[in-house]
Amino acid sequence: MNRRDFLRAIPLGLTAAAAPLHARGLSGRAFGASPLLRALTNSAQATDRVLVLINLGGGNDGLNTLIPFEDPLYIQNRARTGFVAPRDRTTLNATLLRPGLALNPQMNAGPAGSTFLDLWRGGRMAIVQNVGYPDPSYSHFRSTDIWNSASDSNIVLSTGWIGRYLDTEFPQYPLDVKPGDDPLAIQIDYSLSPVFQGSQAEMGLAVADPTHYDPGYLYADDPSPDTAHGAELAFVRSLLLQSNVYGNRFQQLFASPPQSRVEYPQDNDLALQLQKVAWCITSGMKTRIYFVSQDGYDTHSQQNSRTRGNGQGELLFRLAEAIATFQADIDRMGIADRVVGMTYSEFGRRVDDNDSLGTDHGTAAPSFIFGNAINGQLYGPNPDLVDLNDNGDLKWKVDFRQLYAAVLGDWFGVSTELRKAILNQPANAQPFGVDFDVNGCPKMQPLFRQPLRAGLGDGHVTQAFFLRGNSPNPFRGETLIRFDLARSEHVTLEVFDSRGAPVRTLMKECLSAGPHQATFRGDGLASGVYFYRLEGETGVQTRKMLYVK
Amino acid sequence: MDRRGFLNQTLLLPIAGLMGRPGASHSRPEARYPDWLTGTGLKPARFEDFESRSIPYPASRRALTTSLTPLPDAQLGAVRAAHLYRRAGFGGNSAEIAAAAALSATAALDALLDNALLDAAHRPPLPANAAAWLTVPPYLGDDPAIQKTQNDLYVRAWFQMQVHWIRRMADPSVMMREKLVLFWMNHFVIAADKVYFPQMIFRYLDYFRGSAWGNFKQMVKDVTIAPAMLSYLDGADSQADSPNENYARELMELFTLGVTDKNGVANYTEQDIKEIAKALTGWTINYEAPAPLPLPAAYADANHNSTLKSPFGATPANYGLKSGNPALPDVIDLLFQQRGSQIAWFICEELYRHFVYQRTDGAAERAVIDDLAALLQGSNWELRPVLRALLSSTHFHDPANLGVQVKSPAEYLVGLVRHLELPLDDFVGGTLDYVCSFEGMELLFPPNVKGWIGYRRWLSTTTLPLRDTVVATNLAVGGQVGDTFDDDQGNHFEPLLLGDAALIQWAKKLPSYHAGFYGFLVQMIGALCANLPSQRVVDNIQAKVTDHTYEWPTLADADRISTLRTLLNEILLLAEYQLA
Repeated sequence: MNRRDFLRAIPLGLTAAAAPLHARGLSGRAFGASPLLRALTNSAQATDRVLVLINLGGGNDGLNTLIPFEDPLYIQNRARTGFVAPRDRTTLNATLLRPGLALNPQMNAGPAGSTFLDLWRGGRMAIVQNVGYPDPSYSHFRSTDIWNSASDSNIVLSTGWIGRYLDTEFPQYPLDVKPGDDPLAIQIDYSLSPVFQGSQAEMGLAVADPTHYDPGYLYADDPSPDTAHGAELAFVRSLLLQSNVYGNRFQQLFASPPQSRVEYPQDNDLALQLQKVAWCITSGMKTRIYFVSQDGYDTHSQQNSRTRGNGQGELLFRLAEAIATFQADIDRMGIADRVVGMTYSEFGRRVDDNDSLGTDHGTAAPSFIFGNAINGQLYGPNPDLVDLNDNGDLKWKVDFRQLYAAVLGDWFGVSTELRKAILNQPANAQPFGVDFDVNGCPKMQPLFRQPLRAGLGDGHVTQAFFLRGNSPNPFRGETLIRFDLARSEHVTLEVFDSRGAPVRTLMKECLSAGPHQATFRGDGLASGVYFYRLEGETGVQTRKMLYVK
Repeated sequence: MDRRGFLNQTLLLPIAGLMGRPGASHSRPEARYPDWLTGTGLKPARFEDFESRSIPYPASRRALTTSLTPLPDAQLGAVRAAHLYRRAGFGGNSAEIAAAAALSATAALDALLDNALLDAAHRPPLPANAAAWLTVPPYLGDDPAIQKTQNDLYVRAWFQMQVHWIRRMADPSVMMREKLVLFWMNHFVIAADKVYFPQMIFRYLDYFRGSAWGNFKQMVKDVTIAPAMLSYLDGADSQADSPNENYARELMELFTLGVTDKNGVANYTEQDIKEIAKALTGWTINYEAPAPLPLPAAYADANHNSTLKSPFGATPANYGLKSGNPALPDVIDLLFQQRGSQIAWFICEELYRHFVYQRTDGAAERAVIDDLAALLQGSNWELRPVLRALLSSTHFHDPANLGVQVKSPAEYLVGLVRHLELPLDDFVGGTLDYVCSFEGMELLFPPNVKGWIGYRRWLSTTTLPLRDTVVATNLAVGGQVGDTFDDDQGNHFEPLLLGDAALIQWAKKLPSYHAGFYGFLVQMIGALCANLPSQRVVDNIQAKVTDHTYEWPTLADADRISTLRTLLNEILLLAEYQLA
């Protein structure tokens, strides 16, 4: 199908399935009809900041990832799986941990951790200890769901936190996908994690190898009759169109085989996944969220934390090797400033090891967050092996949603209200590193070096030309649009309707550096999607909002 | 990676579910909607409602027949017969459709119902290796080596039950029964990772085979004390002095009532949940019971909360379950007495969504569900008359109801086997089971107590191309899906095969095989899809094999193979083929 056919087909092919949330008022859907609209939608992604989620499947044993080697309770509880044997403490300590990465006088990241050495010394690796959540589940499935959906442990949510975030940025997705678009999120895999489930659609694309994506495409542009059957046909065809769009885009981006700047270890599957992520980012793809995974952490037996070759030790070596290689690659590509990575696992493992030289399902564990934008250090108190829960497990000290909140708020610049809404307003969702203060620990510095913060109250000087998501969104009545200027400049803030026609000019004046805001009232307008564009001398950014009468 | 490599890769990946362990603690799942959704005034009564509300109601359905009287035609005809076989079963092959087409709507349906009676002849062989786990006690000792062996056995048993189930779905003598089993297993949800013991899981699954269209009220009573359910929703841990509310809540929210009735009025209160939870105490699972019936449910009056309860504001009494103590007034009886019309509407709506159309907010659909609900109550909760009326009705056979369902992975995959008459044994069944899992439907492992949401959620930019790649293009182009494969648990997998001879044999059953090409093409599409695509699409498909069309009637069988595969590929990739 050529481009012309595609554009002609859309109104026919999609109207039957379109119009969620807006039964009336959005009649003039015509993709590509207006060059201005194209410009508006093309620039809808307001930031080029990238997040790479690294899932460690099965529940990684935190106590043998960051080793409290001086703690007698560690030595006692981990007599069979630990790095330090009770009777021969000094010797083993010396031989096993010497090549390890010392994090502080009590904690050592083990031999695998030394692979992180460059990142760690460069202050680009944050390690947050004891990440978990209240009332923990010990089921792989349930706990994975909790991490993905960012729900309280007694609440079942059908959507994932990334899916909800992307929902707020792209309320019309997938009905507004058009040629040249990039996937909103990519998982290097055959199936998609529930973390990408939005309210109406999966907001990400699972693709094992973007350089070889096999789209479905046949007759996707055939018009569908206005019947119930036609509505379902239109739905299926909209998916075919999307995969066709992405397939064509991938073919265009990877017309010549992508090159890496460093050698990736071919026997390390996680590294090869990250290599594909690096290809995507450097290809110019505007996708901002990537998901890779490494399985095998469910080490009930033969955990073998200390050694390479098998068990957790090998997994951690491969994890460290993959991250270090990826970081070296993006360093040389010159894109390292806008990429951060974060590991997560459904739980840590039981403090007391078991009779099978392994460990059973536990609770809190450390998370690794890396990148040029990260304030690298060891965060949070060392694991407390005295004050355990009823099940003999570590108590969480950092709620995982605090990390999500930091990513959303400080990395992607999501407003406080929206961030809280996306994270379902849990009690423990202030961004990590902002107000976090546990048991007399000093107040920490933020996780991100240059957080994008909403409002003046946060006390951080913004350094970017940045148009924030409006709030609330969707909105009734009025909504607040905020933006930041890096320097004093003349700006125009303008609102357009879904066809790209100007609706209102909210600001056209010279403003000082710092945060600004404008209120937009929906009075007299039809329900539907509107765009707002901030245009200044140092940048142009556009976002979408949804007005509901 | 090529397609073969792709499938090999999928086969090497572990089934996501095979990691459970006994005694894993689960928190109580509770349906709640995120503030970000509800806070905007777009509050869904249920998530499914939210989804369907965003889809415009097709104008053509306003003229839909709402009559539940049987379709009067003496002969059903092939199109309606195929519709019935897709909805009441997993699709029909040429011979089955031809036979059903000559019958009336009622007779064709009765043939499906009657064939599926669970007499000795239709009693299925048990899953492979079932003797090793079905009747053995759960614990054979504390020795870690024995427990490891036991765990491996159970993990394999889950897989064997899945394969066994898939094979039964493809079995014409029981396929309608299995369609209902799939419905009930996604209604009264349990998940194998929590229940863990295959002894309980298989008995639960098999229960619905016997009761697929039995009595709904009896079904609720039986499910309430089924060991698998006592395990899954924590009834087995519920104590007289601190009743666990997990089952009581889901009993009403998901199994019988829904949060609100059809008019949006709340069906129950939090207090009702507490009262019913008390009434349900006393039941647990006997982990010590010996062979041949391990893990039975067990009742102890001592653990029954014998205080006076007043669910739904009923006269206070020591409600309980008669199955435990015949002297107690039965709380399920009370539930059906107090909320009969709401229950009838709720379950009939679910049946309607599953068997006819997912949207129930139109006047026509609601009128039909009203009638079904009256029928269910009038028949004292017998399901058979309801299903019989619905699936032979003028409404069900209205053309507006054709091709309006999205095929679930099981419907899609088993449908392929049935439509194309592919051989299916345990080894091929294993391959189907793996593919089904990758399509997002791992049998016995629904994601949570609400089950699979299904409908449009079955398809995405991920799963739709996967269907095409894994199944359609492999089967159509190369003739097989997958390679022979052995996993590390000792399971053997065989490819799904459509050899040249079988393909010719299949095509020859289409009456126009020896006639003109165009007529043959339309018949081939008709044999596989509920609705014919537009003229343009048919023309496009024909254009793919344009060199052969004029000489088609004279071609030898062997010379037709590449054309047949091309056509099959085109048809299986149609959006129409994803719909039922």
